[in-house]
Amino acid sequence: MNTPEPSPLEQRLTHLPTRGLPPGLRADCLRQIPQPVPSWSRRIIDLFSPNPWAWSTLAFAWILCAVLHLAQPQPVVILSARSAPAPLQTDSETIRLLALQRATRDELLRPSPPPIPPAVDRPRSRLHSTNQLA
Amino acid sequence: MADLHHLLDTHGDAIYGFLLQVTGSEADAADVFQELWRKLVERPALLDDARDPRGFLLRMARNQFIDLTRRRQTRERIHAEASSGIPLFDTSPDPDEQAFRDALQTALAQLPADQRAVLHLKLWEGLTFDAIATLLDIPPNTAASRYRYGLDKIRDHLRPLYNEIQSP
Repeated sequence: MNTPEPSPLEQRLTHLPTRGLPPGLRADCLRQIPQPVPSWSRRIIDLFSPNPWAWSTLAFAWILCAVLHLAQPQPVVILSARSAPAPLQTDSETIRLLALQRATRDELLRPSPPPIPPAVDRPRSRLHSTNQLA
Repeated sequence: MADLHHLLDTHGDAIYGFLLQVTGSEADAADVFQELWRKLVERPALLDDARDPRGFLLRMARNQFIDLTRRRQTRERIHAEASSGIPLFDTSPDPDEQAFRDALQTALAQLPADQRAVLHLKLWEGLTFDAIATLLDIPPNTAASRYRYGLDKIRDHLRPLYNEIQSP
C-alpha cells in the first residue's frame, strides 16, 4: 500500500523520544532469566577461549609429554637369586614337606628309653683277677 | 535458542512503549510485559522460527493485551484509566516542548486503543500498513483508515498549540 509523504506533524511526532523500559521492570525481567550452570568442560573452554595461544601451548605440551613417554627406554631388570621370584610349591613338594613334618612330630612324640645308669667303679672279682694273672 | 539478555536490550523498550500506548496505563503495560516475558523465559525457543523478532514480539504483546482485556471483561476501565494521559514520552527540559508532549499524551489518551495501536506502530515503530495489518489481524485498508482518523483527531487537538509553537 502506498504511503503518502509524511506531514510536518507526523515528522515531528516521529522524532519524539518514547519512554523506555522502567529500570525496576527491567531488573525484574533480568532476574527471571535462569543462570546456566557451566560444566567443567564449559568452564575450561570459557577459560581458554579468550586466549587462542593457550590452546596451542596446551596441545604442544601434551604432544611433548606423549613423545617423551614413548621415547623413554623400558627399565631392564637383572635377575638374581635375591630378586628371583619364589618358585611355586608343587604338589609333590607339599607332600614331601608334610611327610617330613609328620616324621619330625612322630619322633618327638615317641617315648624315650630308660637312661643307662652310669658305670660304677666296683672292686673286681677274684675270677677276673685270676684271668689277668693267667 | 534466543539470548534473552540481548532480546531485552534490543526490543524491550519498543515492546514496552507499544504496551504503554495500547493499555494507556503504566501498571497494565508492566503487567502485560511481565506476562509476555514469563512466556519467553519458559519457552525461549518460541522465537527460533521468527523471521522478524520485533514483529513477533509486538504481536505477542498485542495478544497478551487482548487476554488482559478479556480477563477484565471490559475495555472501558482501561480507556478510563488512559483518559488521564499516557506517560509515553520522556520529559523535556524545554517548557514549550514539554507542553506539546503533555498535550499529545492527552490527545492520545482520548483515542480508542485500536487507533492508538496503529498510530504507535506507524509513527514510532515505522511499520508499513501491510505490516501493521498482519500484526493486528486487520485488513491493510482498516489500518490506514484508523491511522488517518487517529492522526486527524490528534491534529485537531494539537492545532492551537502546534500553530503557536510553529509560529516564530
